[in-house]
Amino acid sequence: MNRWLIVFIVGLLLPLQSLAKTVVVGSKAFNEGYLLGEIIAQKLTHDGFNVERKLGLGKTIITYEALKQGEIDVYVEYTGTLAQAILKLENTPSPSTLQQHAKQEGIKILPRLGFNNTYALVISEQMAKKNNISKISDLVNYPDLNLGISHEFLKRKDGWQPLAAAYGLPYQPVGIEHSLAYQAIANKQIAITDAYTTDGDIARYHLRILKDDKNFFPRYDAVPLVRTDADPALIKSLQGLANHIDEAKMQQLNSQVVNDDQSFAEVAEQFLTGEALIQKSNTQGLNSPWQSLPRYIIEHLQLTIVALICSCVVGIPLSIAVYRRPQASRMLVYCTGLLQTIPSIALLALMIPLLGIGWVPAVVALFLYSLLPIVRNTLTALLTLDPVMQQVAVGMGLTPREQLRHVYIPLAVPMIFSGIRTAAIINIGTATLAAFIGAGGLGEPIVMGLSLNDTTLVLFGAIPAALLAILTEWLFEGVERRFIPAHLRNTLG
Amino acid sequence: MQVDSTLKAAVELRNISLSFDNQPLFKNLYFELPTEKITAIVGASGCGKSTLLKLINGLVLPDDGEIHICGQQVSHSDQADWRRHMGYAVQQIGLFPHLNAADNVILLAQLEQWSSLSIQERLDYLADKMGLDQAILSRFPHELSGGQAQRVGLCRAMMLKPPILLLDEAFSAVDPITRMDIYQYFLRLQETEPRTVLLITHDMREAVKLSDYIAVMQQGEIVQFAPVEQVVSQPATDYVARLVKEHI
Repeated sequence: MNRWLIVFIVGLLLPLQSLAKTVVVGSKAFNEGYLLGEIIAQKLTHDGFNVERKLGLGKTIITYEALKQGEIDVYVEYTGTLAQAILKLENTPSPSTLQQHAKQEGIKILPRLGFNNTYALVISEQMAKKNNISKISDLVNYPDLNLGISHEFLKRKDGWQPLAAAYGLPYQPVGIEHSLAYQAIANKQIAITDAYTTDGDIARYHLRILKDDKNFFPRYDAVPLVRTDADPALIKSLQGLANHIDEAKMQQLNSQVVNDDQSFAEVAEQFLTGEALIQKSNTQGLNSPWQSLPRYIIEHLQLTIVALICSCVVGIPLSIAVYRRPQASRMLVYCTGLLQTIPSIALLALMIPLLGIGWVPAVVALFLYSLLPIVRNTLTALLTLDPVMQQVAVGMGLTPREQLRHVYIPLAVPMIFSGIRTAAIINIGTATLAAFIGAGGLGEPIVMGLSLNDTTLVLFGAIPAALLAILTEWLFEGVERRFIPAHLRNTLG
Repeated sequence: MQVDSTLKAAVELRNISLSFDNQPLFKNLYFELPTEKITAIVGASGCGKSTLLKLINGLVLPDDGEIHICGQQVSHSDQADWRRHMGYAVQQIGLFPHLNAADNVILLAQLEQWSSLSIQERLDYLADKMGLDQAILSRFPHELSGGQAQRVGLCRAMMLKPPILLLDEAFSAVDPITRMDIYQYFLRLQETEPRTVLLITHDMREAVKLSDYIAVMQQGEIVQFAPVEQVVSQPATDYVARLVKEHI
């Protein structure tokens, strides 16, 4: 029995052991990020590195912190984002100045991959030809065109308003959801919208990017970032990618993923072999979702089970220790409740400086989330015990320890158990977010699917997660039916 | 703790004073329980009779005064140790719902680490005397009738053979016919295993039926304390007379 318990725990902890000396490639969670991460991973593999992928790490700040803390070794960032969102500079300085700022943070900027993924205004090719419009300043002569501008671009401080002011544009644009804007252009409902210069849909919808002839938009050159202490061989390998991808190329690669349903690994491999950067590779890219499903599920279960065990081991004794002190009990419920109000993505981000990314912070976050139902149910069970039970337990001469052991805790078990059940279900749901910090699990296909607008891939994570939740319900119900007498149960079922 | 129960008074309360929210309930109360006799305290609800019982097993602390049990003065912390020598049964019975009837009865003996043989012998003896068969003993509290639960509660209170038994309206929750049966069981046991019993009741009939002595309590004072016959034949006050007349 005990031996199996040890095997079980070791099995759960096994992912911790897999942090061997390898190069960890990260990426932000959107399709261009994944694709560039995959390109880098395959290039490094080809150059003899042992590569681990932590792609789709979520927002900029999570990925950047992960690099700084050494959780990943390289990811692709945009110079404009680095300057403004990360380093908080007023505008994007020259490459050498930016390099100096980055150096103070312990970060080294490698040579640009070749494209500038910035904002742009796009117009249908047909309309552009008809009116001979090729640059933004040409628009001044066509005040009757309809503009549909994405909500985000309307609000950005480097967005519509300063752009209109800089060029003296005479329009009152309507706000439109970006994902609908191209279709609106195709239907001739609007003539012009904002876009990213590498958007894979630009070619598909036959759109023309208007030249930013006054250099209004800051540069968003894609550059690999490493730490200043990075292995020179790593830097040399990455430098090999410099200037291999221009805007048109990146558009095409993005389109292959988004519109042609090719996997990141396939597109990356085709690109690298096409550019003769690698020979025909035998690398393992991202597997098909069916192949990866068992891994997703196992990782997901590991996360939830370890977190749940931890919160039981901490939450139940803690509640028992404080329940006789009303103030401490209230404080405990208050604190665990407060944890619950922190948005999960924020909690994960807050944890990066302390614990980095990956498995450990994910488990810690899940642990913190599942404390509340367990603590609250344990305390409620103990505080709402029938006063007659307490009077009799004391009156018949049970010591405080015996009262707990033989009366109060057995009577509280059903309610504590349903707290654990709630925590387990919450954990299964919340654990999908662990993918944002590279802890894997069923969130991985969800995050990737969201960034690709690929519903099938999202369902690869969402359906098993839902099934796991239902299975867990059944499992707990079975355990309850087996071990808790009917008259003591307090469940809906 | 060795209990010498042959002394005259098994329990003695001396000069007890107690107030709730500045409302005095007891002022210099004196009370004693004759050894191995059944003593009933009778009075209307709110007169303080249950509180008096809780003073004895330490569930309520006096503001002032002394409590002697079997000739020894006890402090509050000692009282907790004494509780296992004072069986305790209440109106709501309070059987633990997660234990079956037998396990409720033997819990204290298990904690006292009695041998399983002694536990079984004692359980069989009590069950026999109280008319509980094996089928009843294996049931959970919610499966017992009121009368069965009451008898299981009494068995639990007497499991450790306590020299003192404190019964707080312990017969009140069942119908009159069942109650008569339980009286019989209880008196039979008291005959074979005499112990000092304090019976709190609002029912003069019950007191007369079961006790050797009756103390009538009115607003925190004991207005008469005498053998049953004397209380019935010579009520000390109008109040006692009325209680006797109304109930008998």
